[in-house]
Amino acid sequence: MKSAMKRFLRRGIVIPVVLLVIIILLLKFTYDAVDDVETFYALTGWLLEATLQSATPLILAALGGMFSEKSGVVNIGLEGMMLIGAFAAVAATYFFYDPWIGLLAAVLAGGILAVVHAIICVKMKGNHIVSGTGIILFAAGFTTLMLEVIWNRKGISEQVTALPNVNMPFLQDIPIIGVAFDNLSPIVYFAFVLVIVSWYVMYRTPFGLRLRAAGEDPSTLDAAGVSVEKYRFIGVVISGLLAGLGGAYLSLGRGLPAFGKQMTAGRGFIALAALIFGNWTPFGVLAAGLFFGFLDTLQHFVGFVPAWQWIQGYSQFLQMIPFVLVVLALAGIRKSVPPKAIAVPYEKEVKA
Amino acid sequence: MIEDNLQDNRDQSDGGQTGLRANVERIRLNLVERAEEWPGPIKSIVLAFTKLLTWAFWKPLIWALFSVVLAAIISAIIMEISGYNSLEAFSALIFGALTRFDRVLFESTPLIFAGLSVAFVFKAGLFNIGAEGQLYMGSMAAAILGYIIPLPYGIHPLVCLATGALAGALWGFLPGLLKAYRGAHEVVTTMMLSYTAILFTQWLAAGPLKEPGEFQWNAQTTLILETAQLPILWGYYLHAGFLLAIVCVIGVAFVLNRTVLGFEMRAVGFNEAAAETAGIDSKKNVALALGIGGGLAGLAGASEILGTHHRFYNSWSPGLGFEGITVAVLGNNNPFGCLLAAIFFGFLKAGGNAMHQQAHVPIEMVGVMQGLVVLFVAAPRFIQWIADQSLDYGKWFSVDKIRPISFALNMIIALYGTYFSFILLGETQLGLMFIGISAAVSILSIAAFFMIFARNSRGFIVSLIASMCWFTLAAVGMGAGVDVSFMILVGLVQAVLSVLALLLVKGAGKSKGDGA
Amino acid sequence: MSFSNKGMIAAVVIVIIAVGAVGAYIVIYNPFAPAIVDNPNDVAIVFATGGLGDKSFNDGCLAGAEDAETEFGIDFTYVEPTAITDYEGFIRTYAEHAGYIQPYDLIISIGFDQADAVMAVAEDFPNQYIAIVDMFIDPETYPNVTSLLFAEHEGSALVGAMAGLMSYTDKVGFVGGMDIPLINKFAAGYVFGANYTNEGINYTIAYTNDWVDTAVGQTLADGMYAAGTDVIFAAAGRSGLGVIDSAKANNASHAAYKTWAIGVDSPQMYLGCADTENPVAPTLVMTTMLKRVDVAVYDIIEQVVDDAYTGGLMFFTLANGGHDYEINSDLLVIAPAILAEVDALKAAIIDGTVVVPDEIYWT
Repeated sequence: MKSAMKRFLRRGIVIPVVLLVIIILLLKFTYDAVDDVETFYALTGWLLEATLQSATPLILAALGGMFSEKSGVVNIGLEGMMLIGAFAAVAATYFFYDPWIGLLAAVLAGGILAVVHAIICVKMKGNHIVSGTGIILFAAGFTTLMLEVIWNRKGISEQVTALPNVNMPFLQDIPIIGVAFDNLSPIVYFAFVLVIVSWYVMYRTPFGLRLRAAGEDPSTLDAAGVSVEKYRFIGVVISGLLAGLGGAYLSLGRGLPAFGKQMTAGRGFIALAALIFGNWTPFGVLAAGLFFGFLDTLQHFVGFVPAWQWIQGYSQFLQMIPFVLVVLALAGIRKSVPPKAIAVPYEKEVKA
Repeated sequence: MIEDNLQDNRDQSDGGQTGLRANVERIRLNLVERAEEWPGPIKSIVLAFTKLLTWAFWKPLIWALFSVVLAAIISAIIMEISGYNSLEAFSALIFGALTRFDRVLFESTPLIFAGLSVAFVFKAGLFNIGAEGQLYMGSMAAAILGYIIPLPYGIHPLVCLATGALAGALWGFLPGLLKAYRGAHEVVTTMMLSYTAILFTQWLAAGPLKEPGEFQWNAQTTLILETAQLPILWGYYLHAGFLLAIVCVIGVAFVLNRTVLGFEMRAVGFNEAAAETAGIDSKKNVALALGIGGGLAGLAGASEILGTHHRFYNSWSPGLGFEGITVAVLGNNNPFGCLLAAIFFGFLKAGGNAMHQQAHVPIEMVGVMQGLVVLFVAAPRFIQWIADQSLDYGKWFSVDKIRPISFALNMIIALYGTYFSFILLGETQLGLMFIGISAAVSILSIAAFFMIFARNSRGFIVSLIASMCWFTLAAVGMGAGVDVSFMILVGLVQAVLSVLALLLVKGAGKSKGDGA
Repeated sequence: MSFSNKGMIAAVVIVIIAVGAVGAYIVIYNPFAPAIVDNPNDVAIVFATGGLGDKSFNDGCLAGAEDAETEFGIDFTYVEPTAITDYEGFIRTYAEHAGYIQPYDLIISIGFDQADAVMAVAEDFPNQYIAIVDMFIDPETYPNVTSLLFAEHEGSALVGAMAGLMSYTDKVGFVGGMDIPLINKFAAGYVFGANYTNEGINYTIAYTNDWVDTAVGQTLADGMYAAGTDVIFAAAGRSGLGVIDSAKANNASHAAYKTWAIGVDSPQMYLGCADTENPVAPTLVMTTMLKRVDVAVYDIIEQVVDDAYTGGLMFFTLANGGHDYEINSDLLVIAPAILAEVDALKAAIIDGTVVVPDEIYWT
């Protein structure tokens, strides 16, 4: 027990400490490079802000993936659900002139696609990976098709009304915090709330207990008279809802409020990486998502510090880090504990 | 794999029951028996032919066809809702592909390789969803060798292809090793390594290997030498890579079915623990399977570069490795099945262009169809269920006429209601309330359709609610001043039919068809 | 079983032969070949991968073609490729004009990255007129190709001059699509112009390395505005629209000054208004560096219509109206003194007294 505690401490502490050291060094070098407090504060604040912005869709989708995978269903279709969420958000806003309806539509669209995944994986006992592939292909084709049907364009839709950013005037005068936390899309704050809510639901409610049991030990759950199928179904649907919200952030929350073809650009897969790297826990997902978002921002950040502009030629390696880290994590640098019954369709005992 | 086993059980249990199937089986056995007496070559031909008569051969084919048909129906509905003529689109697609068959085979060439890659790995019980990355590695290796070293005609492409295959194989071998020795799940590692490979080749093409030149700003490598190009076989596009793909199909089939390696791999795939007890080194086989799968994916990339693009472009592949999964799935992980499936998808892609030009349906429709096919194939039980349910309806109809017909009528009106409400969904100027109710109607109608199809009598109640929604919709529409007579008509018919059906079901007590 | 073995074999052979014969017939005679019809279009356009909807480069080309359509009564068709690998296939399909009797009079390729594809097709179809925007292709080797080039540094110098005069914080920024000579022409002209009117001004340059992702443009602009830059010139295709968005989002956080953006290619001042559908003053896009791709497309179509196609190089500069800067006094009134100064620079560039550098001249 004690050694387990020790191991946990060692494994749990090492990575954050290393990261912290790297970040402090980075900030110090930045300070030396720009040599101007104002600019330094501004850049640091911006780095934080952009990290939050890049991390939000990853965190949301990865949280969704957590609900699905904890219940025992692999969901590689997150990418497709995000994409259809991004599309539905813009389409609904375009027709109803209200981004909040767009947000709702995105969540619903992701949920509907997840229902398809759930029917195939849970009810029909189909192969999770194949179904996920189908979801991704369908979403990619369908959104581009509808882009052309609705706006008669191939690349990008018309602009719609964006979600209004949240302004917090009292923050504005604080040096770094002001730039970082003011003037962000409401979905960013929402993502953080959702992390806490997810943690509570997952570990402090009977629902969460059953959901986890469906993924860890379905036969016991079944013996207790609870439907495994029901909980897996719900888990997958929640994953679709959250991924849809993440997609809505991509289209309505950041950048131009419009839908671009294939605008998720592999973020669904990075979310999966964050999920695995975050060890299938809400706060792990949060940390991994923030870290990957930070890496994403870093490649733009280096462009602002003249001494580091050469790094931009190697930005692909920065983008690679999440994927490589996950492979390393799985290869045994760090213990990854996936739910035990993941990807195994649960069959009730056949009555003789 | 579990679902495969289950299906096989089902097949064994009902095999030989149906009259037709039993007769065919008898013919086959007869043929096999007689063929023993015939001279060698004819005997082998006839024996090969008899394989075509087995249910094991037809089942996946029929399954696949069924999925394709279902996908086509859904695609047609999507096209109709989007305002295209689906009939015109499909005929343009089919004729367009037939007239440009060289293009069909060209489009299918990389898909054959990629499909084989996924299928081969699947036979060893693993999933290779990182074929895309292996393909990029293979194509980059082939592109580099294509311009860096001068070699004579004939040898050069072979060297490039071999290097491409090797690069892909290494990139597949890595997750194989991780799986075998560290237990890292191959679905995740292949996917993550796939992105790593794509980014790495991107860096190569944009950085150190970028084609020099004052006006050359694209991220691409130098054009490969003419000696390295694969010859064109037919038309503008079809290159010798297709022949290589065919050879690979035969080779993979041979390796899987006729060699010790293939046997061991299938044994590991079927039951790893049992294979271990039988003295098979499962670790070696796992790593080797992913390595060979990676090699096949690498060949896909190499042959595309040598045959078509003649240089490595950044992100040149439109997800070919990913489509390999769909090919393998539709081809039931059988090498020849992969060949057929790849040609089918090539057919869709080549026909998609004609469909775009003549019926003005965007090419993306092909992607939608592809996704739908995969979704349906992924759920074999769905098709099984439809087939069983339909057969049951046939039996039911032969003993009872009234109730099946009323069920059928209800299903038709539910389906029509769905269609009609989908069209109304496009009438956005009528406001949020209107859209919301028509969305509700469409969802309710679909639910009612499936519940009635499953012979769940609650479906009629859902249908009744849907009909009430029609009246509400009519009321809202009246307020907006549109012609609502049609909505009232649909609602009325739906209401009357569902009430009648409910009465019928209730009148017969618990009917035997009730409850799914 | 009542049928004979030989009959069975014969049946198999017959089926194989029949299938083979039908296949051969289809291959050789092509009975499904569509009837050859008149080509309904005279001009075909292959857009750049950014696609329509960028409100600048591609949309400008479309506008030029539409002008030509109304003026000369020609018809045109277009495709929007999504990857560099698509280009050659599309251009070749147009050059082959399969299914149509007449070839296209002209194929217009938009964007520098189509050069390879254009050269490959131009070699195979030496009689097909092809025009390429933003890239020089040697007319000696490819006499059927026209290169439409622009002096982007001259136009950029004008907006740079205005930026230098309008900047409150004396910091200007540039967001480019890619670190390539074409985009650096914009940057060089811009920085030169800003220094011309406001000597020693601070400048920041960043690249999105992406022509489509608006989020990247926005992120970069957020960083610049946070660091005190107040005018940003976006030359990054669709990505650049994110800069305008960022200008709007960041404007509220600075009480002392406004965060300005400068548009590119097509008039973009209206995009800086709160409601882009019904633009009303004020706007945060102070001006646009007009690169008249529409004029270029219109001119080359006119050449073809007038049967005066010569091939070679067409060069569009400030002097011949290929470049300008946008003034829209409905949306934004700029002090006459500033306009006068910019116009003076314009005159100086046209008459050659000021030469704008066309590549990055600082270290």
